[in-house]
Amino acid sequence: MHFSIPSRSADQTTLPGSPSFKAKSRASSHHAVYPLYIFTQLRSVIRDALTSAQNVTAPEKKRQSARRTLSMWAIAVFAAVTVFLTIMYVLFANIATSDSAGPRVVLVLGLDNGKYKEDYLAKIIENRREYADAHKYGLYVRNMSDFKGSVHDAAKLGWYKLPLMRSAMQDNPGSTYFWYLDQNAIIMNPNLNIESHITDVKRLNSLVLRDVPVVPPDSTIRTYRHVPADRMKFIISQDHEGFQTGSFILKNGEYAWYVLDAWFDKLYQEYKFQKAEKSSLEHLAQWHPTVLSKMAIIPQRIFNAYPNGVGDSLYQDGDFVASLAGCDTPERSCVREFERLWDNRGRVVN
Amino acid sequence: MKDKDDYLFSPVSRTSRVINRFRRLPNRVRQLILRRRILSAILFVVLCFTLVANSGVRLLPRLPWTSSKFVIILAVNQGGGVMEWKGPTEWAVERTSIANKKAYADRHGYQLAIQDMSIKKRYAHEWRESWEKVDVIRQTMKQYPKAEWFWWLDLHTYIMEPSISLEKQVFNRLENNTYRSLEDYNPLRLPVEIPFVDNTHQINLIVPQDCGGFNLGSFLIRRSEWTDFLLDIWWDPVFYEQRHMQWEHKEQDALEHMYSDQGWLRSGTAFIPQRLINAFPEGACSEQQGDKRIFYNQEERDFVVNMAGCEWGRDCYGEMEHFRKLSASLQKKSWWWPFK
Repeated sequence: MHFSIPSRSADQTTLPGSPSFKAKSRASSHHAVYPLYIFTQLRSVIRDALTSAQNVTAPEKKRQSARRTLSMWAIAVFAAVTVFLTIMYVLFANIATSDSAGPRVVLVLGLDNGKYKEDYLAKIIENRREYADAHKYGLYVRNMSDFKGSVHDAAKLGWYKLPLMRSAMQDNPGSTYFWYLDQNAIIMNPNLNIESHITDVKRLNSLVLRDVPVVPPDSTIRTYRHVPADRMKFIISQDHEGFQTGSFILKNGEYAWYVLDAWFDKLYQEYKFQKAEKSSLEHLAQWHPTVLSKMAIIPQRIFNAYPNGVGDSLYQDGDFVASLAGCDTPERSCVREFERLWDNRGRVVN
Repeated sequence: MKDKDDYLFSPVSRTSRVINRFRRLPNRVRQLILRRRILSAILFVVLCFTLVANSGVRLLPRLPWTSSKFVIILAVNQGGGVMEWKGPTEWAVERTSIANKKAYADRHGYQLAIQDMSIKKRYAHEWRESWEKVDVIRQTMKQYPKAEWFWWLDLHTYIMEPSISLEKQVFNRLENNTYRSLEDYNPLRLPVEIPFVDNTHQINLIVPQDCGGFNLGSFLIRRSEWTDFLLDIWWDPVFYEQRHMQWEHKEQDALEHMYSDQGWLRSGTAFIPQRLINAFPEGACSEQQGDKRIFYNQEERDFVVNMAGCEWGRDCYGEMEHFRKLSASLQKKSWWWPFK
């Protein structure tokens, strides 16, 4: 029996429904070149799809429509599986999702209720609360004495703020920015918004002091010149002596936990630095580039002005914060200075 | 002659019909495959893939420009022959150790970084002596930018079971193989609980504990931001100034101090049972004879032996030769191995 390329109108030597019919039409084209076979097959499929199957015999049509429904089903199943897997992935994959519950900015306040009277502390809390409520920020208030156990030397008050900030971050995992402001400071202009005033990338970029000595006036290590502001996670200012740790902003995350824990290390506390945690931070910034590379030093008047300051640090009307740092020395009186500023403070304008 | 293909109305007997059906089976199979060429090609590929994948044979050839996720850092030339003379036995030990790690790395496609630990002037006494480990790790991380995990191995170690890959030994069940809490095994009596520790943090440092504390002779460290912080803070002049006279094991003690004090460090550190990657020979930790957690166990075919402290009073060459021969004899497969 010789094989020939079958044509549609060729007379059938075998019955149409028999298996040998199929075998013959396949086996004969086996002799053709394989790509040519694929091409002809494709062409016929496309032709059939485009034109009506007029010149196709009934069993061919049934087979083709069966094939078509089968392929449609296959495509439908495949599409359904893809959609299903995508949904599963989106819902259950370990994509980092921030805990959206929680204010974006949290003010952190530590109260020294051993030395100061209740009404004084109440005024400070009121000042912070007014500001936080106006801008929908969070407020985290603790007594400094809560952290007495973890500090090496209970007399050095500067160290308490570090475990305070750490626990603020732990208790507010969904918040991004944590602003520590000393108790002895007043927010004089509560209409200023932290994001637009300090932390927005463009604004921060304009504020960052680049290539300034870490320890004024002339330490060898200077701040970086080219690190972009969106990488900065620690915003702090300097006064004429060094870092002014009465007001700083930390961005919640790996870096903040590292800096706060390393800064608070027992060996640093025991070392008898001259200025306690300020010198410790200066040491960290000078010896450890992983700390300094994400620090932004901004002008002091932005969020830590001194009412009795000199030059650039002098508080002027309209400044954000007036800081009474160093007022707990015998020459000054925190309460008196506070009262003077308290009456002049700005109020929230709605 | 009746057409052989024309069997629709075949008049042959039932038996011969059955026999014919069986005879025609290969034909039908062949027809089926020819008809569904693409589908059968896909099925064939899938079948091959499952067979090959399950047999443990490498699926893709290891191309010279592909880089592995794992890098073995082998610290050689400790001291560089400056403080002690390096004789033929020291050289032999070094050769054996390097050959062992090289064979292991080649077998599993890991990269091997052989780092020179000779004494450098910048590590002269009173100035971060023995903190070279930290600098070497940092340097190696720069040299292998695509690798994720770095396995530090001291010179006096021997990989006893080279057929076990790191994935199988440690990483496939990382959470099960490591422990984070010091409750059960705390040889240094460090504080068990300190504030601000996050136990769900990614594990970036895997350290074994031996009878005297952390053992940095064989440990694993992952490339990450956390690791950058650790490698930066590990040596600090204030820590060094206050404690270097007490810290006999230098960076090991520094790490133990930071672990007991700083919460962020605890979050990223996990411990691994010593015998998984750092078993000791009988001579080390000799006060704890018989402690099943410490010593190399031949029956259980422990992975790596670390002959820690063999240069202080023991025979490094003898121990290395012993373990090399032991490993070779353990790897020899008897003729009935395929049927075991």
